[in-house]
Amino acid sequence: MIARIRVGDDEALSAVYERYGSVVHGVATQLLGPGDAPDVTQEVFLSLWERPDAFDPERAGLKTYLAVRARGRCLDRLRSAARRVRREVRVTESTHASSTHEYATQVEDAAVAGIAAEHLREALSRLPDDQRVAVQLAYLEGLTYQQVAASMGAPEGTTKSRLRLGLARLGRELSDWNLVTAGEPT
Amino acid sequence: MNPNPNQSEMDDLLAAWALDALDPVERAAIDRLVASDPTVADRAYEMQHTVAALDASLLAEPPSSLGRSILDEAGSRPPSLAEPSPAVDLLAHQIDALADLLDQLDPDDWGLTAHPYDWTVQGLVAHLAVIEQYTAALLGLEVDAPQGEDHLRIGADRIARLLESPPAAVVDQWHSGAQRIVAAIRAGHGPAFDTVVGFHQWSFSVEELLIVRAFETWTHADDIRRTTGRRLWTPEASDLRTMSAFSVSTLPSLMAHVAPDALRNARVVLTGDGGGTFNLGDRAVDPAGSQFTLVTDVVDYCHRVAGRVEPEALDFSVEGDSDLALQLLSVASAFAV
Repeated sequence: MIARIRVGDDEALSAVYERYGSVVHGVATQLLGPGDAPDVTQEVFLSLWERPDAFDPERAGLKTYLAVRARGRCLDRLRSAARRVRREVRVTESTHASSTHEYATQVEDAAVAGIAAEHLREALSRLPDDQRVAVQLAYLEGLTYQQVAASMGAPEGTTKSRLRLGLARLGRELSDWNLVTAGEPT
Repeated sequence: MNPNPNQSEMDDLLAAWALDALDPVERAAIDRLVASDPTVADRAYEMQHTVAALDASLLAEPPSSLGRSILDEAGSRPPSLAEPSPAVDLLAHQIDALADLLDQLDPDDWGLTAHPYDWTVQGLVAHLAVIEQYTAALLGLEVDAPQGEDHLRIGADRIARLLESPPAAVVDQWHSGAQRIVAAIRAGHGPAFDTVVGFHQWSFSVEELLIVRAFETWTHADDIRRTTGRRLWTPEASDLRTMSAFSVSTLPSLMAHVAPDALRNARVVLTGDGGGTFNLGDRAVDPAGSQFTLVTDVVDYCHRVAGRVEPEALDFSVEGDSDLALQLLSVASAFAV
């Protein structure tokens, strides 16, 4: 499909969208809420159309690539919005201690409310509390591990380990549900 | 970031990387490491797969209009494909490539039989020299030209004489004749590009004739490469684009005698540098009709057009009628000689 997209076959793009549109839109809905998700979904597929060579099948399947792109775009938006909030906080000399966290929490509230992903919630709920919170803050809210550490009042090294352990355990859980696949079609 | 992390610390960093939870400086450092160390890359992508699975567990159907909107927007942003070479440049490039090849041949190469013909390599170059004379006559550049409808038999007496000459003399005759055509066209001599001329039993515009000559020059150069054990050569993307676009453009008229209307909803997708997407009909006219898409590599397709690959041996995929695909690939080589 990528070879076809590279030579301007819009039906190939359509086929890829039919197959993975709900993945990309799901990621965007999760991270940004339903309002901005279509914009990000469109950006991701147009990016594939305009720069198909950015996809390297040696590194990941197409689904993974698109999901990663979607996450990246969403996090860019979240961080940009967080910076904007921080600027506004400085100007108004607000007493908010962590505007980034608060903004992201609002995003999470909106996003999590719309999640139809029982699997993920189940898997998350089974994680030890410290791992679950760390993964939620990083994955759902787009915080860096340093921000996660500050938010949880934990050392950065410990936080990174929690992320790794939590991710590994989620991987095992999702693998049990056959949600982690090695060979995706490209 | 610890500049020399142990494996456990590295795995911690890779997990944060997969979650996009590193700061920009660390992320850039890990990006470089992932790009340069296959072992690290394996672990990193395994974690990224898990994150992607998390993503996939969050499926949400997009609004029903979004797909159409994306395709409309994509339509307004055509991909940057190679610009097609002007026909005369295309021909000049193929002439240069063949001249370079002939310059490299060993003395023994000239006597080898040039498959799929009975000619030797020298005979094949003599054939090209004769065809350049014939082409020059069509363009009003030559008076003393061989005549005939059979491309392979035309000028047989001239070829026989050339076979008695040293290879270098044959090469000179071919090369000077070919270069004369290019120079004349570039100087604006000869008929206008859209003038129709009869090339054997076919009618081509002058521009198309130059493309056909380029195609034959490339094909025979590859014949000589095969014969002498050399690797086949692929023209520049811009040259391929001109040849492939022309070849595909002939398909509707070629198919009209075999299966009229069969290509009404047909699309040919030629992948690779120099390829492109070609709608042979107008799908918008009959969107509900049975659709047909043939996909193959542009160089392989050109080899098929040149008759150097049989349809059944071509690596292609088809959406729609597979018999139609074979019919189409069969007629695609109608101009092969």
